[in-house]
Amino acid sequence: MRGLLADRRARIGFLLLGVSLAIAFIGSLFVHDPSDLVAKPLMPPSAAHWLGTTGQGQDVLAQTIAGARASLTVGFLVGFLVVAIGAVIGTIAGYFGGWVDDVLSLIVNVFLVMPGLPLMVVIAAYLPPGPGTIGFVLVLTGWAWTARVIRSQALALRERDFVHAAVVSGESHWRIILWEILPNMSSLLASSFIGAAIYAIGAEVGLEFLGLGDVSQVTWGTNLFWSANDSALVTGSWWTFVPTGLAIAAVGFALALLSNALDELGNPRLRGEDDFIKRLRGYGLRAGGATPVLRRTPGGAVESTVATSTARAEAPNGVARVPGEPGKKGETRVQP
Amino acid sequence: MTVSITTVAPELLRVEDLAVEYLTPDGDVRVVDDVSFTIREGECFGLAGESGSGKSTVAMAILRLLKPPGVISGGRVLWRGEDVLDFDDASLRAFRWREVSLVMQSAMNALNPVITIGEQLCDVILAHEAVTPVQALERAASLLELVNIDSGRLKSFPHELSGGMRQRVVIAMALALSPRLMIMDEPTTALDVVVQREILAQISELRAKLGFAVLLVTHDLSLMLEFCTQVGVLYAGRLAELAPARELVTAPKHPYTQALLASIPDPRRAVVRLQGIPGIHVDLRRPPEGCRFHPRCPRAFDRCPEVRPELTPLGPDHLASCLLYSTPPATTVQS
Repeated sequence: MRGLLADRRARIGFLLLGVSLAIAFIGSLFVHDPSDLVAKPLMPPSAAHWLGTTGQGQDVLAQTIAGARASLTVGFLVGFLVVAIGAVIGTIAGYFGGWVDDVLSLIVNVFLVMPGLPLMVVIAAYLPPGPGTIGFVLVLTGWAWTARVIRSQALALRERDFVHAAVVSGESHWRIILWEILPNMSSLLASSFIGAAIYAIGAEVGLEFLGLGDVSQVTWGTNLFWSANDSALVTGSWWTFVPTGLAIAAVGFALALLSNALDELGNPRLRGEDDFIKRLRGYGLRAGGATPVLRRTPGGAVESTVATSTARAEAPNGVARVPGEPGKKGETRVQP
Repeated sequence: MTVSITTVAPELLRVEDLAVEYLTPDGDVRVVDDVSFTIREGECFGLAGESGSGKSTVAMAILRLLKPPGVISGGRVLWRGEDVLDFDDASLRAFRWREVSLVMQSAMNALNPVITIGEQLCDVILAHEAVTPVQALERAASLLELVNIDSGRLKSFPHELSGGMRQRVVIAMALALSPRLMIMDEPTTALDVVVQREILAQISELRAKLGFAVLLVTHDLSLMLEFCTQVGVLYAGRLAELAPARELVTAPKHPYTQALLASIPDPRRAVVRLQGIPGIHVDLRRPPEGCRFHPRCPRAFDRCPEVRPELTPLGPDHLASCLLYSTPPATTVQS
């Protein structure tokens, strides 16, 4: 966790996500009922209504904040369920193999080949509209990909020696799955969760924008639906859709930053290597070829002149030369 | 005897004041500090030391094969008078394998499991020489015969061979271009003792036949003393002692070498409690001042934490970096 916070991207991601969540769950307690008709319709932002009013005369700020609560709840719940179901099915299929794997893989494959978006539209159209339905549809069409990824990881882990050792020492299958295999996939699960949450928020908004949600409820998706319904673009009332759009973008951005940072955390080598490459570039050297040669001056500091572009051109063989080291024996180097 | 051979043979590789640093986000760590030694034609040179002493790092630095975040930060690696550190990619390509080849620790990882060993041997030859695939296959067959594997095995996959055979295939591969020097980084560590012996006997035999030199990197001091003519003992990235193998056994000078030798059990003697070296290995991020071994040294005296010892000649081809042997002689030895 401390490693995660040391990463600038992760800090920005956490901050952005934290603010979004705080506004969604704490801020929504302080705004009045978003469905109230508080002013004339389509009023631009003003002191009384900071983000203006909708085509029905509702407060856009209240709608955006209330929408955040509904949309983020569904988004994170779907993300969690997608990963949970995917992890359970995937590890069971990968760990047990044999006919269990055959049956589960068949089901997974069936869900994978079904086109997701049309299926979502069809199911959402048949079921009674509402956030629950949207969530159900998203989980139903979303879990298979995670299951597939987790299964292949479980297949690889199953053959590792520590799993064999656990089998030999008499651990139960469930303990092996929960204690030996799943913790080894924690960074994969975390990034799967983030990916699924981004997907869920986006897809939920998309479905509701198409009118497949319950339009009497206030969510980000219905906000955009009503905005389009009231011809916001024609009337030029940008304030009815820009706040919701920016909020969705901000949450997606925060999650993407976290996902990126988690990737480096799960693979610390990435970070060290980045740092190394950056420093070499500072000396006018490139990484990736033969081991670079970095001659140091007696003071211990590398002569900064090698960082110029001429030195870069003069160092095709991965050698950064610094003016001779007079104090050293056998060091009578000449600049090329 | 050893002395007369080593003085006659011309110099092959001279490492001068080699320094290697790891540029980590937590600061730069100097893991090899001014290491110098010479390998002559046909000689077998051993680099010994415990884990983290920098012995593999030296071997990899010679080939410029150190992985990030390693950089060579000083010194020279002279191959027949030319500095390897000045080589560009093309000359390095010719230098590696044709002049100096490498045998790595794990033959399981050095061989591609989905390609037959014949193909892998041919790959080496075809990559470096303008020969037809048929000629390459013939060469591969004779290489296998050279390491006592039937040439019918060319079509075998690595998993069809035993560990010892795999290591012999790797050695055959290292010999493919008749290099003048073969660097062996812990070549037998993954093998059992019996196979170890076989492999080393094989290398000795091949060395007599083909006349290449060997740089053997291992922590197995007894193996090294038996196999090598000249041995360098590394401690915390610095050379502690450099001596002919025979002399290192009979008259080790550096207290670290003495302590290392004391930790090898003698099967012919009565059972005694072996002497370990007290303390733990140096943290190279904060190495001790002066002699790096002084916190663990049983013969340390007042100047040890202050003065960095230089390699001092103590006899023909025998050097040690210990203040006990430097001038002015230490007078305040405490035991």
